[in-house]
Amino acid sequence: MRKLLAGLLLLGTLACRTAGHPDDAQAMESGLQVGALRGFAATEMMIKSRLTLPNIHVFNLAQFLNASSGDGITLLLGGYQGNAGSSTLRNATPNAVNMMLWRIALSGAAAKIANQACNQDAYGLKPHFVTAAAKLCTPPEDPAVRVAALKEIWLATMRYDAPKAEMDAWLASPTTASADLKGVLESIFLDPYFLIAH
Amino acid sequence: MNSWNRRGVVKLGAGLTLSSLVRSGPARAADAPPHFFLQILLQNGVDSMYLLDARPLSFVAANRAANYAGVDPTVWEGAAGGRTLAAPAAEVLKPLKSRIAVVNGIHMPPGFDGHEQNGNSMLTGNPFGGAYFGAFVTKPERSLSYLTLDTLIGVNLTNQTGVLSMPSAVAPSLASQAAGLGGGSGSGSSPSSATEWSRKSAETCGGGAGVLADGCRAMRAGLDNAAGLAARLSTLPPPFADGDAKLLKAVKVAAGYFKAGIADTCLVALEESGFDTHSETDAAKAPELHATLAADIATVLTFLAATPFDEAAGISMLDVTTVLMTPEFSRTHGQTGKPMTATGTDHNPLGNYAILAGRGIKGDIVVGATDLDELTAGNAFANVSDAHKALDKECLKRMGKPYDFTTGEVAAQLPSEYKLADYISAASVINTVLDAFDVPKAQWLNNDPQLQGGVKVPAKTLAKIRI
Repeated sequence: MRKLLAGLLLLGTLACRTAGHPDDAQAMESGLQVGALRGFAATEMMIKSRLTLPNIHVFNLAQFLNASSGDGITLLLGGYQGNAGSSTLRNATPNAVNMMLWRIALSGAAAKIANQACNQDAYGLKPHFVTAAAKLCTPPEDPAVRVAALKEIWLATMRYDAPKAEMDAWLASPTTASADLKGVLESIFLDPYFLIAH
Repeated sequence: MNSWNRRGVVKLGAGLTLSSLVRSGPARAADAPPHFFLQILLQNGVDSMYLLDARPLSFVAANRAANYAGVDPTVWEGAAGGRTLAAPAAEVLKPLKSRIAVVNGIHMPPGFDGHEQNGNSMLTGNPFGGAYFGAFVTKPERSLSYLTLDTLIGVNLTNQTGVLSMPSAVAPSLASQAAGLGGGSGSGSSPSSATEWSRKSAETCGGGAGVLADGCRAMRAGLDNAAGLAARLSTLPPPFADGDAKLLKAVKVAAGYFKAGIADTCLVALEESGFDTHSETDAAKAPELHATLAADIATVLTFLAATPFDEAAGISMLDVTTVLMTPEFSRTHGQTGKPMTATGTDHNPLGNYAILAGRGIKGDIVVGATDLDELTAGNAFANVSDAHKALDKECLKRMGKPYDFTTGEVAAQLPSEYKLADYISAASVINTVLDAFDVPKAQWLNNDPQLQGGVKVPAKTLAKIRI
């Protein structure tokens, strides 16, 4: 009976979390395992809640894996397997398979968002993110403008999930210096502090 | 339960190398062939009454056991020793008898009746869960500790580093993703600048201590190995056909991953509805369900025997794979107060069973047996020990008979007191497998995971089924 109630509570909580998207995805993390991947659902929620507007469909992560959300392959990126009575977190420890798949999914998401920000009137994206992203659509001549834009994009996406030292290292990284908007987003999405619960 | 295992030590290590995923292909004939482990967990309490520990229909007439098969079982005689009764559903396995070792009368840790507890025991030796023993046989240089296919119900496996859990049906999609990453070129795609940043950052945050640092190190290792894995996955042929049964699909995926050097150990969690036959309606369908299952088991063993590992050397996948099939428990003869012609069945952890095959396992043999196998003239069960009555007063659970681990024979005595060490236990079966892989005894399981006696004594193995 207790397991059934726990399972129903879990299902209810997940249903609430995925019904639209909350502005802050922190609540999603309460059931996550520190040091493990946040998992498919939580990571998708983070990206959507931080960069896209509620109730406007911009993308689903699964589409970049040629799958649909809840498809078996999304389980490989970290998720719960089982049924209402009993479910277990699977594939949440980083390994070669989930890193391979995260590379694919997040590269797709970064490309989609970058394309939306630069080429499609930014429909569905949060205004503060769009303002910063637009500065990278055409490389700014003033390096200080680029750095300021990068910082805004970092804070819009990562928020304060990473220590300042991580942001500083990212800003100073040669790969960040030369990346386009897609590459900038992809590097934030693939940052350990973004993918791993802590 | 062991508190230390090789996987735990490796987890603390600096990193797992790309070379661990790259193998040189099948061994040359002169080299010892690799050794894989395939465990199939038959979840939901698959009943030995309808497989290889049946009872005659006279037991139904005597109101001592339910048997909806409607046909008497036949004798399954092991040429290398032992005998049992095979239900009609198991006839399909008889052509494979020379490859199969049957172990009847396995005691799960006493006092636990549930699916999860006994599933945990069958996989970790501990009803509350722990490290999956299959990981102990994986070579340390492998970065994929083990693979689990399909849905494990409620078990608690704590060694999750380097573990891939996936539905078998996803395998073709995964290979396709790998090819899309550029794995088809054989060298993997050049990492993007974003990936380079990710690797560098993971190395930095992995330089410390704590669970976050552990996660960062695992992430760095995963990123390092992803391209090599993609290369391996993209070389796999389509693993199965749409019309293949679920179990065969899983075994085909496992065999492909074994051959490609992606994994050494695979746990297939077979979950089919209808086996947990608490209701009379479900119990009446048991013969048909088990017939399908037995046919599936026969198919996968035949597949493994017919699939080359090294065609030139004449080595099949079954030659290089140790296979263990077992449920988490078997089932009772019936239910309290119900006639055996109209009853469901409940969980019976005292009379579990296993089917083993493959490398290191002798075929055409039966070891162990369960009691409640004879009737007196008055239709009572004969030769029921006091130890049995203490655990099962109503005599609804056929229980493993005491076993002499030295002679490999069922012991004749009827114990007055129950001691797990007198019987074949789940730990005995697990240690037999570990022995087949030359896993050091320090990692073997003991019958008492809580070490209440204070001394760890590994459960004895079934030497009689070992070659």
